[in-house]
Amino acid sequence: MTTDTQHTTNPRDDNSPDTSPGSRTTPPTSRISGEPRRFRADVVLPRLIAPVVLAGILLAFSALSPVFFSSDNLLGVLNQAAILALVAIGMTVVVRAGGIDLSIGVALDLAALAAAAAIAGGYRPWVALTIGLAFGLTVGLVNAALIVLLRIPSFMATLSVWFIGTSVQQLLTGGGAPIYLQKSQVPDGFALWGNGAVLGIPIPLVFAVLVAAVVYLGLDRTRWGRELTATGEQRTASRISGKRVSWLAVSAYLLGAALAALGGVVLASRTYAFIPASGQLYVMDAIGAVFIGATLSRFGRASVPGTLVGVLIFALLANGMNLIGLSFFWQGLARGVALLVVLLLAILLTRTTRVPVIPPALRRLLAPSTARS
Amino acid sequence: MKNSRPAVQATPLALKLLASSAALGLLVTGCSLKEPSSTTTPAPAASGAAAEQISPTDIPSLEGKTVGIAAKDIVHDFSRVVYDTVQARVEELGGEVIATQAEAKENKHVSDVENLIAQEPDAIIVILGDATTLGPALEKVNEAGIPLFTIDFQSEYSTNNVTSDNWVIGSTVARTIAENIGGEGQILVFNGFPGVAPCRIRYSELEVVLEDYPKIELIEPELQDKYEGTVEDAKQQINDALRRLPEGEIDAVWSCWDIPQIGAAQAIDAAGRDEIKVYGVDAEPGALDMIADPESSFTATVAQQTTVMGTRSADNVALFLSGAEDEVPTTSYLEPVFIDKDNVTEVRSELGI
Amino acid sequence: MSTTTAVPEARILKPLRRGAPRWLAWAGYGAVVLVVLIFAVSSSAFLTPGNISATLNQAAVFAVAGFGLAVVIITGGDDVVNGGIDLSVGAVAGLAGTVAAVAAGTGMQPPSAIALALLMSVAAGIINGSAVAIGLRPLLATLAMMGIAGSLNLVISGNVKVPLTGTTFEWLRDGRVAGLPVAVAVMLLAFAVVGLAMTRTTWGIRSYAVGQNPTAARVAGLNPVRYVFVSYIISAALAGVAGILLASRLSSAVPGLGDQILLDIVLVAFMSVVFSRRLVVSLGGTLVAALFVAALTNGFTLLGVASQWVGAAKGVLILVVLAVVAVRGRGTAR
Repeated sequence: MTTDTQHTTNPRDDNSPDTSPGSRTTPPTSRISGEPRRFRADVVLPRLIAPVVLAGILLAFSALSPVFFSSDNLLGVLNQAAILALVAIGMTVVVRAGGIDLSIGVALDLAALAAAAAIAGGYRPWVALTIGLAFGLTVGLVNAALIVLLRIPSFMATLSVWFIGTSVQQLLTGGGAPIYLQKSQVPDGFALWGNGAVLGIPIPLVFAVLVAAVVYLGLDRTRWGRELTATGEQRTASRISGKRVSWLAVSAYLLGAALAALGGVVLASRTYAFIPASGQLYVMDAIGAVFIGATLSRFGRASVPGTLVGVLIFALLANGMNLIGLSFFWQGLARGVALLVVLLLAILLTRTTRVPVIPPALRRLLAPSTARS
Repeated sequence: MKNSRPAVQATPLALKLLASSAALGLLVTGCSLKEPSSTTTPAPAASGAAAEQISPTDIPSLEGKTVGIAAKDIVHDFSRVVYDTVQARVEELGGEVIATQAEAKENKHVSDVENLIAQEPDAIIVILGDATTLGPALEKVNEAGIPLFTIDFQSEYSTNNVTSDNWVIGSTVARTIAENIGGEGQILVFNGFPGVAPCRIRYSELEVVLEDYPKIELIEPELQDKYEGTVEDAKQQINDALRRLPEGEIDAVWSCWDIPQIGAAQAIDAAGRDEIKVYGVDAEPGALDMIADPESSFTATVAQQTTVMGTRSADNVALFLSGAEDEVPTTSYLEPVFIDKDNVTEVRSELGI
Repeated sequence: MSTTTAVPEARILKPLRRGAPRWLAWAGYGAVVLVVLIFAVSSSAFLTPGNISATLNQAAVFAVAGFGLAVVIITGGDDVVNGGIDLSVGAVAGLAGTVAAVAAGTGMQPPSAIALALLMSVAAGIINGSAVAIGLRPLLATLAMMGIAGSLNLVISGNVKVPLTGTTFEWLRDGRVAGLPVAVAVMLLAFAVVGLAMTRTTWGIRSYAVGQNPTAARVAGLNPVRYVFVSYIISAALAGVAGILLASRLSSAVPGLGDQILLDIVLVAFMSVVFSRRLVVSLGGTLVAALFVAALTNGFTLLGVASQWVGAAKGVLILVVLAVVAVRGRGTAR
């Protein structure tokens, strides 16, 4: 792995669409200029897969379970999905900037740890929130320093931070002691963040919606968002100065960590506790949600609405499978197959309009090698 | 390098960090950061430090001896307290400690035991595990001529096993549930970790007891018990289960340990389904808080005498190494303490948990 | 075969970090030697034959699975979002162990049980490879497979530890080949076979070419998809071998084992960068990384350092070496 992957054009980012492995983030310019669009279908259909699957899940479980399509249940699912949504939106920003953050679980855990310890120590809720966010942001700062300053590839850097953060968490808690908060002694101001409701809408959900709206606007409607996207997709583009690129990357890792940290504080409030290594659960789901969401974009670009679709697919699937009483033995299988089907359909539909019978990749695979001796 | 002694100082470290950052905030804002009304909660995880001095004074010294300790994990109160007290007791008796913990990873647990053998300690104590998985490694301990002591699982190579009577725990919890729900109803079960011997035993005992209660059923499918993110995950699963099974279709929730039950009870309390009772094992502080709350559905748990277990095991090592082999039984059973809403306060002050 | 691809050798072997001085290539090894020296000086037990043998044994499972992952990264390119990665190695290893244990438990002959387990692994690899060949991001395809294999593991085992007994599996656990524990022999064999295949055969050299620059490889008339497809099958097969070794080591197949080992497999494969002269993922580097990680855990135990520090030490060491390289290399790199 080269240490400068982040800062040079990825050699695989070539612009011959039929051989690039699928929905990778291809710079928009190359796709548009390199290939005139003849069929609307190959552009529109694949982008509809994820929403269609989401609708399919809604329909299927509505038919299978009488309680699934009730406002009570749906609101409950949204509430359950709120923390994953926060984390996944953070991941969206990082992926948009051309990186990946495996350490969000650590940021979430450390934030939950700090917030729970602060409340246990009798501090006010806003102090707990501040300290929680500060702990999470520290993780983001370390990531940014490693990736931007030292130019270590984001995967390696955040994987290392994951290991280190897990150690830090164990060292701070005597090997992983949970911190329990007695319900009666938790100030209402803190308990509200995970358990309260505004006009019947759970507060975690309010957080998620607000954050989603702000980050969506930030990414798609501001100069910061446009430049962030550009740095992620065309790192060598000369129209943005190197210095600015660095700051954009820093902002992405900080925002990613901050949102995970917010998720951590909400989690601590929701469970009235800090339970070690809770953050790990969210990392893979967040990555999955972001990339399911990327199928909504013609350029395979991660976006907030797409990510939310991905989060909803995971959350509704889990809820629906529980409601119909499917054993957890089979749930992983169902999730995996659903993920594969969504993504493969998206790719196959892109292809079928061009090559109706066998997808070109498979055809090439079956064809004899053209390498000449 | 010095031997580690993590837990005792650890939480204070976290709190110290917090205090300093909070103090910084105080300087900036100049207003009170603390909740005015709060009666400060006791520092969590401090329980490990307070080892009860019940052991007789005539325990021989461990001066000049090295004791290797391999714990399967230290993520829940039971194993962490045992891990800490064993170490504290060995050092108190003048012995040296080499401690490892496997982060709940089977493979690392085996490696830890192997790595300890290389050190040629005078004795090895293995905390939690499974005779199948650890069998070959324990056989190597035996071949190396190192006396083996186990805590909470039985092995043919073990000189002494200190354990709660998990059969009693399992059947008593099961009988309590059966009687509390009036001999009929439905129990929702977290499918524990069948690889963890105490969990397997407690689940088997549940099934044995229910043979005599034909009107009690275990709800299918069982729920998944996870080692990571347990509380939040259990809470979500129970939330879904509550919607699937309306009032009257769940009477109790069973798990072989407390942590998922904390999430379960939170979900049940929030949903106002007060007909459901929640039962756990291990007496996690978070669970005890809920049992003490008369509003909560968390009904009962079982305290194991964790500090005594740790001390007893270290004492047995000392006795054995000093030649008093006759005084070391194959198994030292420690009485479990059953805790419900009636006795929770008094047991807590008694056991210091 | 006298194939000369149009991808010039120089292109393949070009140091990726032009500015890095030559000695930096050895920074990773320097760190290893230093740490091993510290352990050897501080603990008399460290360099005893028994301890070395145990440490090698502990490294074997992660090394074998790591080789497979390394092949995927080499062939797929090391850009993590779009390049080669196989997140299903842990779950597939767990599945292989369970299949072998359940099959052997039903009275199947051990060789057949092992063959069945490997067949199952290869099937997972074919699905991974096909999905990637069709155009799915490897990260996602293998993430899905991770869930599927993990779930099948529960279904097949019934979420119960399945004991793995019998002389064959005991031999895999305790037997020796030429004085080495069987698992270590398997590790070295896998290293030799895969290593030779990757560096001495046309197929291997082309795999490198495909991973480094697919466009150039295509221009040269290679079909990148074919190489990528095969890499996932190799990865899954090696994960299967690792899984059988691990189940033998634990004398049982443990449900949920895949999640426990995934991160360490990913770690050794990526850590290999630190042990490669050109700072790329390599098989030799993976072997050294696996041995190093095992030695680190072992040494920390011998020194009495709390295991809570092991994770931090792994992470910091990787970062330090990468950072040194990055900082030193910057002067002329841009």
